[in-house]
Amino acid sequence: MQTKLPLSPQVFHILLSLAPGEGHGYGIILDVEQATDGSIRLGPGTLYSALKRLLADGLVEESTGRRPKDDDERRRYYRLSTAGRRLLGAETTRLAKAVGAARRAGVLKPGAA
Amino acid sequence: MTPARGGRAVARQLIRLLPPGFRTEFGSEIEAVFRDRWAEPRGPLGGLRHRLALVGDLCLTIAREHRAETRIGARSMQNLWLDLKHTVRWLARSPGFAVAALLTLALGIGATTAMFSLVDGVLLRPLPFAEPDRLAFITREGDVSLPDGEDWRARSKTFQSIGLLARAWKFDLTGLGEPEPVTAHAVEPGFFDVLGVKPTRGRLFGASENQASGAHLIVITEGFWARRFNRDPTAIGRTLTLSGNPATIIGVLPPEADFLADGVIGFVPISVELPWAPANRGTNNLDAIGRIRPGLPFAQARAELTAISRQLSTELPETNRGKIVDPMPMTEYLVGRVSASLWLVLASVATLLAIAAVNLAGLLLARAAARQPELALRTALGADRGRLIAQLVTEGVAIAFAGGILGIMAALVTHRLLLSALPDAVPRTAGLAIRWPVILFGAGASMLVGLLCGLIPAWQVSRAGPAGALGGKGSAGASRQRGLRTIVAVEVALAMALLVGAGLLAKSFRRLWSEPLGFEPSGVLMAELVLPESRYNTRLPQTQAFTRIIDRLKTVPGVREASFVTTGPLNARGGIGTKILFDGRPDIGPDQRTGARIRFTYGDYFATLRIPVTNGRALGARDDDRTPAVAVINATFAKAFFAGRDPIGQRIALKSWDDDTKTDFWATIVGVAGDIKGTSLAEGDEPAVYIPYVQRKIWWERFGVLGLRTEGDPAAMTAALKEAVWSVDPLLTIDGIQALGARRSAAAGRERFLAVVIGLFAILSLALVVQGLWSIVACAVESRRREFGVRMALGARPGSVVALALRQAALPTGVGAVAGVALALAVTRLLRGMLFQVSPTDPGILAAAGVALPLIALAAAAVPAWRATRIDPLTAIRAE
Repeated sequence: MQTKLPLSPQVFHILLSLAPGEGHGYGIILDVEQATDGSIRLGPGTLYSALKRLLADGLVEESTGRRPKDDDERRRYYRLSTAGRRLLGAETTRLAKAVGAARRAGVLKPGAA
Repeated sequence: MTPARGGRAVARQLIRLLPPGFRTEFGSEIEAVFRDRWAEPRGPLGGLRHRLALVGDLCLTIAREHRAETRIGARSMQNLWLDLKHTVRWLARSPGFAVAALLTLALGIGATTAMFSLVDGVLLRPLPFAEPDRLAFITREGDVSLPDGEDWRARSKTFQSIGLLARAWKFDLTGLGEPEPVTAHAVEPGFFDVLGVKPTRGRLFGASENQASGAHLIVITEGFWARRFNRDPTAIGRTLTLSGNPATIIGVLPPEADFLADGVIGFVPISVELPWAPANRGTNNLDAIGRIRPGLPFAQARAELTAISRQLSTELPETNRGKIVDPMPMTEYLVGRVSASLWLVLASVATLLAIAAVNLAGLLLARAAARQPELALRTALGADRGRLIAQLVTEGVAIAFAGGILGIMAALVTHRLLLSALPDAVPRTAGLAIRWPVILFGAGASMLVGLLCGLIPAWQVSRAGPAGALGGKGSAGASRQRGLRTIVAVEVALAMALLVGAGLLAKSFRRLWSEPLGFEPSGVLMAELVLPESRYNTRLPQTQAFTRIIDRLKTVPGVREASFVTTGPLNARGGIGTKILFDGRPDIGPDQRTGARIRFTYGDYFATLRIPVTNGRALGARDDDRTPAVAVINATFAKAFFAGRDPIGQRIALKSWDDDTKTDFWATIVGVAGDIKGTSLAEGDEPAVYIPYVQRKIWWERFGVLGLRTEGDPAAMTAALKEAVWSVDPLLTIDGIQALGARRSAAAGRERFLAVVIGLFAILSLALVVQGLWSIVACAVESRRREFGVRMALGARPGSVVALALRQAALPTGVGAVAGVALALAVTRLLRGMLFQVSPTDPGILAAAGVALPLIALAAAAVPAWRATRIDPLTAIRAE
């Protein structure tokens, strides 16, 4: 597996966007843009480059499940694999620890963010 | 082409460049997402940035995936390094090409970056105030009074604060070395609240200190503090003598406080310096700024204040009839006049850069063709197409980056020069520095050019396929020719648009410049003089000062004529104006358009400027304070108010212009003078009345312009002029000494600047087109050497061979020219506001450019075509 901690912010947010359920490329881009207040804007090329690697690493898998009736047939949907979910959890724990440390050091006011 | 379809086309072409594996897997997905993203509605600028980012993302992905295909990073770094070395070696082998390519790009990127630095600094850089979007400039050119401001404040619910100012009020500064003419903004304390400026030292003045009989105070600007006090902190508390009054320095304000860039030395309380202003509703020479309450839309505040001024106009017709204000966003007020020009120059220079980039792409494409055997060999040895594409892209990007670095450096170095070459009318250039977005812009432009230069040849190679790469003469040759032809057509079209634009601007400038002035500017020197109020507050000393100065100047050797006028020609502010009454006609209310500019003169002003007196006589020495009051009117006045009748002998009056009794000032018309360009070169004269200065009754007229008609170079009389003034009063300050010819040049500054700059771009673009066509024809002739040689050997006429070779160039030139004229028709509409008496679709210019550009291009192409006739058939055939 090539994807290691810490995850790049882009990969982290792609995984995060798939955490609630399956999603397609355009949806991921919009999710990430919204979740980061526009600070991470994934181009389609960048997104599929990343998805290619995540698929190869078995962190994301293509979903064949149900999709909305009126949706474009050609759209491909993706979801987190068990490994992907575990990795996302590990990264989130790591980030939470970092935030805790920062708070104890007085860098972050208690209650903020 | 609709944007959506354009997006799809771009995506398709780029996706073809992706490595096959990735493309098969994700190509259609990427295209679909790309299309969705491309179609998202955004503003024009945001949309452009958004779409550029999308294209950039795909380009980066192409590079990334090709690198990934060739596996490990180290290997690809090694490849990149090899490609770079290869590029450098290749460039070193053809230094002529290398230098030409680098210089072309450096010029293009440098010029584009330099222009963007102006657009950034003048238009995009936010005003240095808190929430500048809430700032409004309420007036235009000094047209309201203090009581108006009081009423606005009382009635407005949308404005948080409003401050009035007498902009750049003139003072004499004495007691600090040489006497100096200076200006200061006379402001209400609210002015500071509106801007939200804080003093860096000392304090500001408040409402209690802004009283008609209050002590004289001044808050000086940081620039003046540095210049006159060398930043000495003890300057605060010291006293300046301003027009004879001692004014205490109470504070220092940062440079942004003079956001109008008037070069004022400071800010003085308006009611102290203009004690008549608080109670005088009819003066109307103040400006106003305001800050809108948070969260309110600008349009609402604008509408409200306009409505209030309309109410006042009905309630107080005597003073406020027609005095309707229209608040404008501050930024727009400051830069609105130049924003179109700056964008135009940026667009033109970007077009030039696009031509240069396309041109370089063509050269690289031709080179790629010449390297066909090399590429074929490398393919045969196992290099995959991805590696070839990567190398071609590396070459383009490397050249573009080298050119870009040179260009950005050139832009940085020539920044000061550029600023000094700008017409004075461009605001916000003081202290304008290159900010980091400008550098980013330059780098982005280089990147784009590099990708363009690299991807076009790479695209060709990817189209040609391996067979083409190996075959060399087969489909690749045809496809390459097609690529070159497209490139030429695009270049010609872009150059055509530039050429038409330049032609229109040049014609407009020539029209403006050949406008009859109504006076003869050469040989005239002018200087402005303001008599300080403290010593010249009555008529007699004022008259004595000006008459003595003029009489003295007349005796100076080399001076032919000397005279005085209150407002000289080409003065954008227009000068004094008042309502006129006519003997024997009823006074018909204040809104009757019977206003006129009043120009008081002493000496023979008409002879000094050579303004023709077409009827009756000029004003002269015989008109003094003991003879009956007389007036000379201008032609516009005569036409407007005496249509068809002889005005000589008629009596007119300046309303309420007798000081003591506020009665009307009656005078008899004795002559009619020709119109002059009073405010600008583009506008005709307003109705004007010339009256002998010595006959005036008002007391406040203590400023004016001295005019000298000299025998030699007017500038050489500067010293003599100063000496004459100072012999009358050594404490007087003289301002704006300038030859009238220079003033005329300055009045056409913007038009001249645009005509010269865009003209220069057009010439450069023409040179690039010539170069591009030359190479395509040379290339075509080269690749058909054998055929031409055989034709010549079989007795073909040289003319027909030249024509055959030229056909390569003629078709794309023709297509490009037609497309270019269409493009020009579409874009020159944007020039409408900048053209003087020239239509944006001027048929003469369109026809001239439409014929000249193809002719010049083909003439250039004829040289390499002619070489086709010189091919020795034997060598040509033997070489095969």
